[in-house]
Amino acid sequence: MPKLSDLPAGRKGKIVELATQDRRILCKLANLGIIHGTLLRVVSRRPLLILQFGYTRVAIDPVLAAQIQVEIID
Amino acid sequence: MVTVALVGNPNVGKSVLFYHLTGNYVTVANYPGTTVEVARGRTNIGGFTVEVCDTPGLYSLSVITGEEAVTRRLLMANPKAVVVHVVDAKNLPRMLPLTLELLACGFCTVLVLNMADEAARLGVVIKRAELSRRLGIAVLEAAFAEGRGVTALKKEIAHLLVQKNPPPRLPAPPPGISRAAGLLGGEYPLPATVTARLYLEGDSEMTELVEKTEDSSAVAFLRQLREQADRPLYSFALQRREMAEKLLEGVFFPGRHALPGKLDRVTLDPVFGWAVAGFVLYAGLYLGVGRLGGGILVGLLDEALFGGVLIPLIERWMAGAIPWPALRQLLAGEYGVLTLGLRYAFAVIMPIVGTFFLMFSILEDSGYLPRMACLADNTMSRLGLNGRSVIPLTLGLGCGTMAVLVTRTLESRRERFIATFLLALAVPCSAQLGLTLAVLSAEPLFLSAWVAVVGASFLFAGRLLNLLLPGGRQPFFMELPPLRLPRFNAIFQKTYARLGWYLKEVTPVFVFVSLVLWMLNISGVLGALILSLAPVLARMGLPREMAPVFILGFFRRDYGAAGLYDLYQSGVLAGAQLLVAAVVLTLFLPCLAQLVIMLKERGIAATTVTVAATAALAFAAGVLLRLALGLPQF
Repeated sequence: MPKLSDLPAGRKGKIVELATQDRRILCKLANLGIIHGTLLRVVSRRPLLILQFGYTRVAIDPVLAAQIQVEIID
Repeated sequence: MVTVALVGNPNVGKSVLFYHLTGNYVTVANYPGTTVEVARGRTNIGGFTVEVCDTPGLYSLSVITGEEAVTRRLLMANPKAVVVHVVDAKNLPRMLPLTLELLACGFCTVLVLNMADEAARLGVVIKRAELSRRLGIAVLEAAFAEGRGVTALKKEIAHLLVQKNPPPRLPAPPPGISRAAGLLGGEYPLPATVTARLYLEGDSEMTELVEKTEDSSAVAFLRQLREQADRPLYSFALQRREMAEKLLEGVFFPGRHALPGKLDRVTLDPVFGWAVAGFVLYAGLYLGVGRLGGGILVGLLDEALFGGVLIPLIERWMAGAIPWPALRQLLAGEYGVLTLGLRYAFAVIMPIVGTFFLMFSILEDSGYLPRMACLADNTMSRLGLNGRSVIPLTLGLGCGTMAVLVTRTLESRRERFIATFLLALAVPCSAQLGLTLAVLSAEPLFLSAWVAVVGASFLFAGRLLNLLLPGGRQPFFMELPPLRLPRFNAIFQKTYARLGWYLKEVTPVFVFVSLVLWMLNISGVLGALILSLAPVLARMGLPREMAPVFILGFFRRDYGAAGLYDLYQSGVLAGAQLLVAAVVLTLFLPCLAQLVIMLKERGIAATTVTVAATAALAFAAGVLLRLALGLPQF
């Protein structure tokens, strides 16, 4: 399953799994709306991963993004 | 008195609403984490006196950061509060789950769709009446930045003060929660289902509370349930999200996409972004705070107004009116209340801190700071911090005391400690910065050397702490608000509020410090202290005239800097000595106010370590610098 951190800029993905047991990380991501089923687009990969979903733009660390599994959408 | 709590995600307009309701201005910015404490103000709504509370941003009752915990505690302490849940209308799908949590807690809630003008511009359609019917609470529309929607909200609050909401129609909690809730026998500040949910999620505050209240067999059972649950926090959040999506079916229709503009892309570009950041810092700090504040404005106020007009006037008047030399000294002597206390406060510090707050407010309101945080994340990660720490550290260039408070927005104790330490050691406050720039700008080489040494100390201390302290950094994430043109009103009000806070906090200290120094001076203690400091100073190649500056510097950092400025003006310090003095003063102990806040926020052990280490590092840097510059011992 591709990871969010592998998604090239401009591509869309749908979150299918957060592969972590870390309570803090889960809490953080869920609070931002990065949760199972969220459709998002990678706006840019530099200097960090910049994501857009709905009207929210979020910058996240590639380390966090590597724990998010996505389904690539064309 | 009934509490009206303004609750919601960070950066949705709670503080602006607070201003509209109470007339008080708390610092509001275009990025998360500006409110770190609860601001309270009284007002009259519908004939009742209520206490309005502006709370730090909250995403959900499952809290991570210190500022979120502050909000949850306020809610727990006020079960009868009227809760105004403010959301950003266009982001309703993401924010509605918190409404559901507030309703599950039984709060008398009103939902406010703020920034409705922006949502409408983007073509977002929200059927409010239907949403209100589904939730069983009032749903209002507002644009608080324009003052729209305040009257309607007041009317609804007034209505809720006399007539509570009917209990909301919420779906039953998942079976796991119901089972755990059934085991709770004690009294809790939140309903059993919410308490049970937070317990199952492993929330530390709730765990402690529950395990203290319940008997051992119930606790054993609860623990077992918790172990069996599969990532409870996440699955409950997902359930709330799904519930919110269902509620919004046929109610919320998204509009056009808002794509990032050109400027937006430039600010985040790894190459041009740094150029922009460099320019912003140069223009804001060097030109704004240094040249305009520390140079032109201080020159006008201190030399022309105080030095040229006021002080001679006072001295002439006192020569005739006050026959006692000691009293004359107290008012207008070397450490006089008027000549030192008020002059420093109003003629030296105020213009500098004022220009800093002005610059910072412009930066904040534009939404630029989160972009700087993204850019700096990589560098900060080497210091055990992440990009988030850029905000308190930059604020520290204005006032370290304020900045230590804002370190609450950092997520781990480790990060809070590192940031507090760096603020104490190597982040000069605006008064210090402005004056140092004014003193050193005549010698560009010294100025660059000062920047280099202080910068190196910052990086060195950060890396060292990152190596020594157990644990690692927290991965970075941050919402990026859209860039916008700063609004004049917001900037003005913010600068005014910050400067007001600053003057209220510092002016008594200024007068007090003058008094203490006057007493020390008159009793001869100051002389003895100066003598005892002289050998320490001599090792750094500094004259003993610097001793009072260091002592002043402890009371207030900016004071010390102002003293340095005086020594420079009078020609006591010259050449390379100035550089050494500037470096040591910058690295030296934080001021008294910052120390007090450090004690309050970080505790005695961390503060002691910080104080001892900064003093030692400052001294070491001074000695090394003297040797490197080939200065004689004094």
